[in-house]
Amino acid sequence: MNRNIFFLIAFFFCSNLQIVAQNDTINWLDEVRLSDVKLKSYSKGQLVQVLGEADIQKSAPSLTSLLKFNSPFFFRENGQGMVSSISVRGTGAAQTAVIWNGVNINSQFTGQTDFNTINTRGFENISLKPGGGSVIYGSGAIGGSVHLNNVFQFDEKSNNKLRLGYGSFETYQASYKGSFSNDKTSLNIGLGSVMSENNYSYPRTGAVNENGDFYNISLDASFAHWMGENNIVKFYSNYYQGARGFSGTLDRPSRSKYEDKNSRNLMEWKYFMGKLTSNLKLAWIEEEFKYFENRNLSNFSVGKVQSAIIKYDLGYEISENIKLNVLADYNKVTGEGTGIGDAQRRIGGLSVLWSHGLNDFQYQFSLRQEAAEGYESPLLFSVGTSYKITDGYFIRFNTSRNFRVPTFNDLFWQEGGNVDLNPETSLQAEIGNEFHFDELSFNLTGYIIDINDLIRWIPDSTGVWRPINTAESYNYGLELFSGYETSMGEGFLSLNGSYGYSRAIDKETKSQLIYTPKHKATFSAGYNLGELELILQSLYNGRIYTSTDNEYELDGYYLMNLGIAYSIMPGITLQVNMDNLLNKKYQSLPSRIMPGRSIQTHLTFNF
Amino acid sequence: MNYKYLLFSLCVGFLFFSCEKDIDCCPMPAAEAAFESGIVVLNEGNFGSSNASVHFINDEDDNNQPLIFSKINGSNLGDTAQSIEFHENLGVIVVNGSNKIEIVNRFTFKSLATISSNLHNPRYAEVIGDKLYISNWGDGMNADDDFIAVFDLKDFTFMKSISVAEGPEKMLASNNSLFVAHKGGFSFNNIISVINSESDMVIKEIEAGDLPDSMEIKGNELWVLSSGKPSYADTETPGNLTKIDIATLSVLGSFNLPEPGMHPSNLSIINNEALFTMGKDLYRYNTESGFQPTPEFSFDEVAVLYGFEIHDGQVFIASPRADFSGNGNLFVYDLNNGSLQKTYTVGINPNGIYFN
Repeated sequence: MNRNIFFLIAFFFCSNLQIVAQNDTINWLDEVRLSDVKLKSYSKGQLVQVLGEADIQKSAPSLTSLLKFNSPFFFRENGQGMVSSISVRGTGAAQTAVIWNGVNINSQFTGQTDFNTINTRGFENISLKPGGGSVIYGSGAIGGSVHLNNVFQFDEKSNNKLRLGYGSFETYQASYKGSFSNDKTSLNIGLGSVMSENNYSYPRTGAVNENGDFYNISLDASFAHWMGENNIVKFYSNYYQGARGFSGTLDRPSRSKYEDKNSRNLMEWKYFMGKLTSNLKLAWIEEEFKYFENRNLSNFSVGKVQSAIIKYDLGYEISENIKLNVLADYNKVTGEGTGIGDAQRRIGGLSVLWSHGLNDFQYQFSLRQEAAEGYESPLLFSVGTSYKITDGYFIRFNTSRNFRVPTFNDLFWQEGGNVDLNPETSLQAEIGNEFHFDELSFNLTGYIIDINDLIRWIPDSTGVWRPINTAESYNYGLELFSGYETSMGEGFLSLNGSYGYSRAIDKETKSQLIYTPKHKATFSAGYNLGELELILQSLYNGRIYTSTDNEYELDGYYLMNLGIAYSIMPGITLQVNMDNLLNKKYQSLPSRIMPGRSIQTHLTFNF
Repeated sequence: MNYKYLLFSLCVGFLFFSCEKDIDCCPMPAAEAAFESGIVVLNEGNFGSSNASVHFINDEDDNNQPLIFSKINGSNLGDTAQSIEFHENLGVIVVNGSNKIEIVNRFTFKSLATISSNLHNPRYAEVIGDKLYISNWGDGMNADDDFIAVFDLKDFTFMKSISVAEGPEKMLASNNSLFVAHKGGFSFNNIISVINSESDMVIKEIEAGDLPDSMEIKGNELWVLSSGKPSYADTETPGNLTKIDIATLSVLGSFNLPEPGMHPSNLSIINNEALFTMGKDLYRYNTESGFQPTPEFSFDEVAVLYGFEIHDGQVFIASPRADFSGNGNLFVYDLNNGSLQKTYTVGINPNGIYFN
């Protein structure tokens, strides 16, 4: 048991060390095991921080919980389990792309992903790539991108993990994850569900979180099969269904309810022929919501969007060190719903990617041009390099132009939608330093982002709220990821920390943008001793402004969670987590108070 | 072994950082009639953020006091304050988002009562005799649950709920009649319903223009200014001015603005003229010479014309910041020549101006 955890942790740390000189075998393995191969092969100038299964299993199941304690990214939460949006490097919620197995899944309605609607337990790894990525990942990859990956094994093993949990506020959790493979076929199945009354009391106020109950269920399946020596076919599927009361606040009662359903399906056929790799992807993505202003009535508003994506990628190894990819893709999105009527958008795109490795120096160059209905798309580019100065020190550089396209709500909302909008565009650059000293590693990145044509909804002269390309901002800051691990005495200690300093400044007013803390830090520690494991998670969110004149703000806060896992017998582990151990009263939105101290318990069966 | 202590001391270290700086604001002792003479500005705040507030401005010495409700009473006003009705010594504050009514002494802002039941999406308040009437939308999406709640003004107990047509907003009392303008909630309506305050029954529904916005009484006439349906409606309609005989409840006359894109609000009647706003401009309608298509003045300093009053020869405009975030302004203009006289900083999204 002890040894297994050691290997698991060791594996995680190895996967954190991104710039390991890659060879063809590894590249080829990635081609087989992943859908999103380019996350590794075309991110040389940028950090890709990998959170492996061990991290995923340690955290609460929502993507919000995982990332807020493991990254310098800030989350704005409308209460526990409610809508949650991300801010990376001081950018807005629609300026971070969420990528599922290589496919951008940000909502077509809002441009954002609600991080509380992603159950992390069905994924083998979740990778964070701060910085621009629109050439490969499309709209929204300005602040960064978050990658949800299923990874195939062909090791002729089967693994099953069943996890059952119960905790404060009548919260029930269950998840199952199974993986099965032989040398030709691999299958991963994930099932996760959370259900909570979520009726916590707001610390030191006497008030209770009302109407905040929620449940969600998600299903993940991924399947790969070799057909002959040169062909592999893969299917990926993710289904999410949830229903939530939108909770009231300190001073505002609520009776509304929100139901949403997301389904994502991807089929991939990969053909290897000498130096050529041919890859065809077909994806079908649906998102659907129903909003009930009063959950006791049958009146509701709806929205539904379907996206069909076809993508063809031809890769050619010009020489051992030079790789060229040419991609063509077509994306058709159709939507309907209360407020937008029928809407449609078609986007075609062409990309060229070039990668060259010269011993210690590597560089990449990529271009993308889209043609879309209704707006002018800028020419996107990315240039990235990495240079190994010594064995323990790498330096990286990336510069790119990225964009965020107007959403369906921006364009087609009946009360004010504006079809004349341009995409938000950014020009950005970053320099990264990566150090390894034996058991210690850290990544320090400095960045600058210049964003134009920011889309804001403001009232026009007749009082109708409309989106326009109005503001411009520049962001700059520092980002640190660090890790330390060592075996000590009988046990094994791992420490991880992250810190982000983000300035996001409106060019006209010179004020910091709202809901972007200047400081965010996390620290976590795990100590493993035989059957026992102690887990500490903590974060600090700095003060945030809630008004554009910076006259109103929310205080910063420090949170700490403590967990204890005990292996009762081989294959069975009991875990008790104490969240918000210090019983802080905190909020990331005015008057939306988060829970005080709470307990969650889990029983995990591995078989 | 030592590493266990390291872990332990790390935990302890964090505990030290955990002291909270909760600054509890103590209620300020209320000076007798601190707000006897001056301007009261209601700041609705941001929906969902519970940051509604009241400013008091003494226009004699320009003393500008923020947050008077919370300072006097030691508690937040609540979420999304919609309107205030002053009646004798009372100030009735309708807090839409919090689904409650705060009743204060209008000269001290000391809380007298809070009504938080028998309301559903409350909008405006009006008083006739000993009764307090509150217009309620019910659910915005539901056209059939709108009502006027009636409370006893002596002890603030609930008396009755009067079911009305969709979207009741502003109300105006005249003798025993309560005129209710129905803008239509999330959709559009065009009627003025008339409630008799003795029977508390709807005795008539009178058709005005689309989206009746504001009402004024001049002699025996009720003038109703309607905004017209906006550009995103199926058919855009122009603003309209309708005159109604208070005694017979019949329509005496109706005037449509010339262009469908003209959407006025904020009716005031000065002498024989109706003054109203479109965008940031002031317009005039004269009973003899009719509508003047060129604006009287333009209030250029205003970011968004959100609250509007004409008082003592001056125009008062409450203006949020252009993006409805952060502190807004109160602008005071001369009604004779449109010149800006004073500017005050007020709270978040000011929407109403009232006078003591």
